[in-house]
Amino acid sequence: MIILKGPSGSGKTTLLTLMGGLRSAQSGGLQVFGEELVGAKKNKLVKTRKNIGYIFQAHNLLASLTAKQNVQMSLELHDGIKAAEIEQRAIALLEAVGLGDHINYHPHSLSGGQKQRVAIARALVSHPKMVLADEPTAALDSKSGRDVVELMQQLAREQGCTILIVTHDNRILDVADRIVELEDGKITLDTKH
Amino acid sequence: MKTPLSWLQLSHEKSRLLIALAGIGFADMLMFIQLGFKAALFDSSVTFHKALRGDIFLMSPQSDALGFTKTFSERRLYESLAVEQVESVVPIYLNFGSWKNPVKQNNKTTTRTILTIAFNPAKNSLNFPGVAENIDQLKLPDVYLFDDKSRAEFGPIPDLVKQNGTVKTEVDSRQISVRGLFSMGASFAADGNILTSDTNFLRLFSERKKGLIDVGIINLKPGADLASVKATLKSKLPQDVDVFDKEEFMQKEISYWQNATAIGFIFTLGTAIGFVVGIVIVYQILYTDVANHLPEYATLKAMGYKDSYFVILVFQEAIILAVLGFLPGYLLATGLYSLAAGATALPLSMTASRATTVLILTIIMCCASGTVAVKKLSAADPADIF
Repeated sequence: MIILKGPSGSGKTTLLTLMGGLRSAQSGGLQVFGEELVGAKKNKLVKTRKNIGYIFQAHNLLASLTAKQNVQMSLELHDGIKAAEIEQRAIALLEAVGLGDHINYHPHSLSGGQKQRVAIARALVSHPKMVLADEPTAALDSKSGRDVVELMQQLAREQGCTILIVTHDNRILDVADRIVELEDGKITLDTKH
Repeated sequence: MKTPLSWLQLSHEKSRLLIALAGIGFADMLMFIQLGFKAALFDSSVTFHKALRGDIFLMSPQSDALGFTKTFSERRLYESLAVEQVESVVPIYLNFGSWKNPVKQNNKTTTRTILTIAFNPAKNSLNFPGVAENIDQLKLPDVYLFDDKSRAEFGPIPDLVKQNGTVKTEVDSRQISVRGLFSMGASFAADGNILTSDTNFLRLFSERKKGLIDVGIINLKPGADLASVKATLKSKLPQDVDVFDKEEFMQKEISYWQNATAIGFIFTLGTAIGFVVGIVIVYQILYTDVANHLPEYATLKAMGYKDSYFVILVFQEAIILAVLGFLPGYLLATGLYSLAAGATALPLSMTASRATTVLILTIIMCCASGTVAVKKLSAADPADIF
């Protein structure tokens, strides 16, 4: 669990989008999962994205889909998983985030914290190698923000995946295994806990 | 099975879906009405052709349409009797005459052009109501049947015949008497029709020569092969007659009116307008749909969904809208057809081929809108959502 912090304009989000293959880097070197992403073709970027889970500040769930369908969308992207297994895994993960009795709710009838938990389930259900989270607690009160981060920590341990959180929220710094501080595009501090 | 996102997205907002379907249904109804009236008008031009009892028809190659025929020798008809499978032949005479309205309008005598149809009354060759019942009258000199669906300008002949049994008037200044009615209806060519025997016809139009006819009917023996007899006649008969089966005979008439009048153009234009209205409506719906879902699509792109997934999504939505919007349009048009058929006496009804045409047009319409709406997809950039 890595927390990336730094003042506004320090380049945190740019770094996140480059790592996630959402922008293509023009020069220098950028290796993700051992693959060079500088000058990479669109297809390679899309392939990289499939190995990454995303959690956004605004949950970005699909409004027309239920919690379960939202989570399934992430699994349907991967070939060779049977429909029954997709459903089973989606339900299992929603239960893991404590939404076992909300699987058929649409986002508009869920609270902010519940929506963010669906987003976590969506990001982790396909067992990504890395999860990128952008200000996941910014829209939540301190209690639900805390719950969400602890949930991410717990699931990351279980699945053995890296979670990178970009945040301003000092209340959650203690969950990090490593804190990286960024200023003007340069790393100014890198501490391990 | 993958999550049917296209359907879930469309059905998520019920009221917008209903408005969309109403719009597409309206565009479909417009197309149905235009195509329906076009077909009905052309159909009405062949009511005479349909009523003729026969399998094969001969006409001069110089003839254009009913009422605009060039004569040919009836010998061609008798030559065809030599073909083994031909059972009988009937010569038909057609000509326009000047009908005098027997009732004076404002103390003035009015005349109007009327189509005179004639054949040998020994055998009924015309399937119109009233012909069979009155055909024996036509054996008398200068006796005619009047088409009770002729336009009112010819005078209140149907009422007079029902009251008095006989109406006396003049055609081309010759005294004639109407002793019965039949039902045919006005066409493009003629506002009114009268029916008589070949003998009376030649008395009336003294310039017409016996043996020079307008249409020749050929009846085949039961079980005869129509296509082969037609081919035989085509090769045997000289080039001064055309040989048609009934379908071709009607098609010749329809294509004449299609080319000679603006009817085809007007209704095709009306159909095109319905089509364009539909494109605009569907485009509006699909564009709004894509625009509203841009952040969601960007999220899916970040997760690894390819651009092609969204193109397919938009076209799936287009086709769902096309099929669902077609149904209310179809039902509405069927209802309007029966209303309009009652009001105009035109042969207007829903046909499977027209329904198929409109359904295909609707799908093309929706896919055309989809093609334009797809362009908006490129605005979904996953780098923008952080």
